[in-house]
Amino acid sequence: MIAIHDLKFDYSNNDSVADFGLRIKKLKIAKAQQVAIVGPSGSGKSTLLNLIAGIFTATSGTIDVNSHRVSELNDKARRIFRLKQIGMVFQNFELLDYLSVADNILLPYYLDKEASNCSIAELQARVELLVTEMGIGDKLQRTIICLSQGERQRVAICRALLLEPSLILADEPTGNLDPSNTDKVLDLLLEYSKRHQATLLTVTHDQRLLPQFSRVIDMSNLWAAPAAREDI
Amino acid sequence: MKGVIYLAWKYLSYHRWKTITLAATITLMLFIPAAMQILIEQTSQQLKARAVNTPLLIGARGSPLELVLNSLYLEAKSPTPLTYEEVIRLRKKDSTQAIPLHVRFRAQGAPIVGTELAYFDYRKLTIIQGRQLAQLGDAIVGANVASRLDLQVGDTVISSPESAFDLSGVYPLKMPVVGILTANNSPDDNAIFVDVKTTWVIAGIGHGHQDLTRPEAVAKVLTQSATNNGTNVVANASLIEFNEITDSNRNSFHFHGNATSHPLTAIIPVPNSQKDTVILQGRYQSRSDNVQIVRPQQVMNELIKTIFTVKQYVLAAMLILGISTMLVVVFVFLLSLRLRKREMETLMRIGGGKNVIAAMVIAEVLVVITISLLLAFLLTWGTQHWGSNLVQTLLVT
Repeated sequence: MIAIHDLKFDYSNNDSVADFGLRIKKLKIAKAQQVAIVGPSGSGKSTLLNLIAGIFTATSGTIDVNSHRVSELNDKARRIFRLKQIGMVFQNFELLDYLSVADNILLPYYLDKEASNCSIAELQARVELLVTEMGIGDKLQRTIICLSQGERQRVAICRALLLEPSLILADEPTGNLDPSNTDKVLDLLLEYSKRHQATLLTVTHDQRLLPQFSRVIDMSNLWAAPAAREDI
Repeated sequence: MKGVIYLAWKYLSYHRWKTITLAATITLMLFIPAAMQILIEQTSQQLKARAVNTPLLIGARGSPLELVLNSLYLEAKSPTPLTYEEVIRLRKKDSTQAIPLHVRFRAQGAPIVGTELAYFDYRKLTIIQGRQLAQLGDAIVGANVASRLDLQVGDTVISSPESAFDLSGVYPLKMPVVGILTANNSPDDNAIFVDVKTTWVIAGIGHGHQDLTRPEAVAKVLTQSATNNGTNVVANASLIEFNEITDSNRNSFHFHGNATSHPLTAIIPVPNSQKDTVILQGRYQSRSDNVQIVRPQQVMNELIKTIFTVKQYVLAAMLILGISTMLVVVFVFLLSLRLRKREMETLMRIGGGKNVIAAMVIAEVLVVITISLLLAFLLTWGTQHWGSNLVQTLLVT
């Protein structure tokens, strides 16, 4: 479950977005909810995901994720929290071209073995299972440049799901995909969310996908109607 | 930590050409000054060793360095000649063993050393195959010459003309190889040894030709007159001179003029004691004619001193070059980090700490430096062990 209270965030150190700030009085997202976040560019969709993930720190207010007060964790604790609790999927996949598919998926383990709480053998077995489910089981040893866009995003999803996170934050995961791959990728994320009772927050511009989510949050509405922003 | 090292290794092996270039640059930056130091050290030691084993050298007045390089290292152009009379004088008047040297000609790239059997004892040269010099025209080859030219006992070597355009100059002489020397890691390995008289034959001082007193040679005789020493015969240009000394024509070879006037490039005197050495040196230094005595060790020390002075300049230049190379390497690393900014951000967003990412970059740098150090060490070790042979090759080829 995600709970946000009196959130205030400003890009104080970045001149190019100095005039941008995010204000949310109250926002609650239930466990295992599948949420689509929509809104025009610059409305703060990605910022919200980064605040929930603990990548950005709020100027004031509180953010609670699964009983962790993210807004009060120190840098190291937020990093471990991110590794253990959150699976992140990005629009541009953000895979490392010098690693094979298998190593890209195992990247969270390489970054912090202790945080993964699993042996490498267990994780490798999990990788096998994930790639089979994603339909890229025969591409484990390939390098990233040998994969299509859709396959790359599936690898990125495998990486996000490796440590079985309870929260998936997907920032426009289908933004660079054709309609066929868009449907496949979204199905995989929704399927995982349902099966593992994981909360899914997906930023998207694709209106066609919205009916598949259990809830839609429009960031422009948040900004446009202060009353609605108070309690969503 | 293992995971970080693994990621660093993966990055370096994926960008292998960048890694190889960086490692090679650092390796060369470390290896070249070290190798230069070692090679100069070994060169000077080898130069000194040969000079130490030859306390004195007698030659015609001129450049002592040229005399020493020609006589000891069988290199450089031949110095102004002195005559064989000096050898006789040393033996008779100074009661000193004297080894004549005539190093002027070459055969198939190797210097021909005209000397006497005493030279082989003096240099402790032994025959591994065949026999010692016994007859006019015999040749013994050094180990490297035998290997380079694939020579066996029974093969022949042919002296090279000094100039292709000098028609009246030295004619090639074909010499049978009668022995091969054991390798002794000295310039002798790269030389061809003959009796000093054979070099006089090559020089045209001695020669062999048809017997003009025989009836079949009568058509070649221009004039014939009786002298106090016998018969003086003048032949025309159709007279055949032998360019190979064989058993059938060996007796026809003869020398014109007095043997005491025949040329040598140097003489190695072998005094019986230190006292004799000093006396001999004193005698020659007081002479005002065209002969000089030199101490090869002293001459080589002067040369080495010059080499070391040059070395200091080269090392200083290398230091500056090394610093600029290091700056380029650092610049490449920093540029690489800039280009990988997005990758670093991704690692942080996934959950990688700043220290983990810094450790990854440091691991990459350390791996490159470790590879470079290892390579530089191996190359330096190789130079230390095999540089001596390299120096030999460089010095005597």
